[in-house]
Amino acid sequence: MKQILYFTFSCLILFCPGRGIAQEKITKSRGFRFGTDVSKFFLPLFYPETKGYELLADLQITDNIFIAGEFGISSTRLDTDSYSFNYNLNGRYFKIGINKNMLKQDDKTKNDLVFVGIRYSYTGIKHKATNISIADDHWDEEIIVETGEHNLKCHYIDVVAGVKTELFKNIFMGWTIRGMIRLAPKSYGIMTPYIIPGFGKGSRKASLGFNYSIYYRIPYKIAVKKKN
Amino acid sequence: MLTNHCIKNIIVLITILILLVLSACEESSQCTESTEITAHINFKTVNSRIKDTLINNLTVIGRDTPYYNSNNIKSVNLPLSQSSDTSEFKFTIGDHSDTFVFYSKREHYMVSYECGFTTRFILDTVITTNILTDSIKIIKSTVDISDETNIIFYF
Repeated sequence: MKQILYFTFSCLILFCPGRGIAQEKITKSRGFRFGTDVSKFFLPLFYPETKGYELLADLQITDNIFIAGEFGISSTRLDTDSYSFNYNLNGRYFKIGINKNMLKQDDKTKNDLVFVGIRYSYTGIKHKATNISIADDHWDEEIIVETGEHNLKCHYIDVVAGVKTELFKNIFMGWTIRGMIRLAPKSYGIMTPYIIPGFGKGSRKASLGFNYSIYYRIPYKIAVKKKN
Repeated sequence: MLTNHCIKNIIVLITILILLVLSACEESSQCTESTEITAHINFKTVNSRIKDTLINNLTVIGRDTPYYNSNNIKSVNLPLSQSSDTSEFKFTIGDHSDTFVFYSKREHYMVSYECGFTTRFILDTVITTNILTDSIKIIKSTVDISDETNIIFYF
């Protein structure tokens, strides 16, 4: 009886690994970072009459790979002080992709990153022009027309590179440079958007962009099986 | 004390910022495109062969003042009304006159942010009593910035 029990117990141990047996595990630190782009306050220098904001986040999934995303809202108002019509644009954009850290991790650069990455980006735009005055010299007419509201869906790819450095405990700052290529739409109908939020000037097929951001990182630890 | 690594980073950052500023700066834009859009009409004679023809003593009046008042003309460019579906022109050759009424639809579109909007037209028909002309044919119904012929008047 005692031998049967002893034998059964040995079988259970052999065939149920990981339960009750000390397996080699190590803890790794991971983090979730979220922040805001402070360079958007300088947006009106490049695109007058435009304002917006952007939120960023990244989630660490391995030692050097992060899922990263951005979300932003932007609006533009042009008026008849500088143009022959009034113009309104509102847009929202989403970007999702991967960052890969290229910096060797050591004690000094523990959570700092020098990264490259790629994004798939989408911007939804509503824009319209009103108070358009069209003068007809031959027929002595002047008419005021408007375009009505038009919706646009823009798709593009970003290639990004940048840096994130820990300033104080869990507070990061970083900059990102991005090169973007517009995939769609190929043409705009009667009116090109003044700006595609998240991308750049509406008439361009490719654009260069820059973020300067402040982040907060929430660290957590996970247990990972040690690889032999 | 700045380390080499730090200096390299700063140089890279400054280079990138300069590139960005250069790419964002464009020449201050003025409107250089003409936004004049007219219907292009060519004159041809109907004989055994159809060929370009020159008309003498032609006067074309749109609203009040003569729009053309010339000799040896083989084509005219006429502006269509921005606000109405019809544009009426009176042609006089020598002692004979006729009225041509152009029926069209309008579409307003943006030329550029600096130049603003203009109108392109889709010609529907041209009505006349054929006192001066034998017939009229619409070749290209879209009237826009291109200078392709829109209509042929056969005399």
